[in-house]
Amino acid sequence: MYHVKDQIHFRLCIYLINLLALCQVYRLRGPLQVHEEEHMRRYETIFIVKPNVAEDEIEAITSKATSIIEGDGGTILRINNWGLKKLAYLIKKENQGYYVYADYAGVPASVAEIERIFRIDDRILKYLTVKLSDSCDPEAVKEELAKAEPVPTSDEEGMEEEKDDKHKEQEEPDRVKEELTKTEPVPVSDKEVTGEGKDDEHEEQEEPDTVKEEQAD
Amino acid sequence: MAPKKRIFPRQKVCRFCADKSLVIDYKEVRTLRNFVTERGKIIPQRIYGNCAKHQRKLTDAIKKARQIALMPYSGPTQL
Repeated sequence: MYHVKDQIHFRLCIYLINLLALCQVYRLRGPLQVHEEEHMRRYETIFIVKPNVAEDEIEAITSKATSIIEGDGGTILRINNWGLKKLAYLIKKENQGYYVYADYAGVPASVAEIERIFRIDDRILKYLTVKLSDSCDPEAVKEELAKAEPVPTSDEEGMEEEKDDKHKEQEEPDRVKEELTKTEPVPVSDKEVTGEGKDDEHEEQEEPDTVKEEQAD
Repeated sequence: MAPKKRIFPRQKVCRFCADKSLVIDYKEVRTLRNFVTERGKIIPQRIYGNCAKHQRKLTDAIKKARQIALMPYSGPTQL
């Protein structure tokens, strides 16, 4: 472009195209405010705290997390302390951990914030957040929970049980036992899994042994 | 190759389809433990006869449980 007029024209065009593109972006991204009812998702978070930590410090961590959730307009549905449990593998050379389970309705931003804080804190060994549903009506869920729904916990022998007062501890083991007897589990050895011989015969032979083992548990 | 393709004669029904009350949840380690070998490996679908959908959910739940140290990645499951 040799003439100045052409250059100006060209630059104006580019400027206008940029403006248009920006406008499209703002239009598509939409307003940045959170519509409270629509964006409440139901999450559950489990985090493991080091076993040596004092009870009030664990309370402090939990309350920090709940304040973040409620600061963004969410609601806590339930918080359970599963207490000290034996870990399936060593985490930071620790054999046991203090499990805390939280069920809440919140905004995705609060989840990111909570996880960021967990990551920084040295006393928290692990955390896991699971999204249960995309939309959640906190009031309705609270009513459902109040009807004594059994909360699934991994209650292993010798560990502290839940501090729920709604007979959940009694309901849970019964249900689990029912499942065990119905399903008739057969411990499959690794050879059977990888190899391909004698599968059916082996399973049938091993069934009486395993049933005895389950009863012993 | 030796003839390794054996057709399993027994019609296996998916446990979870038959019994809708069984919930697959990563927190319920006792039910999950049934689907894992002694060394902690996930049992394939063809042995237990689970349907694909439930096998996927099961695998997902087991992996989550492993992540949160409710089940081991390898080695015997305690208790």
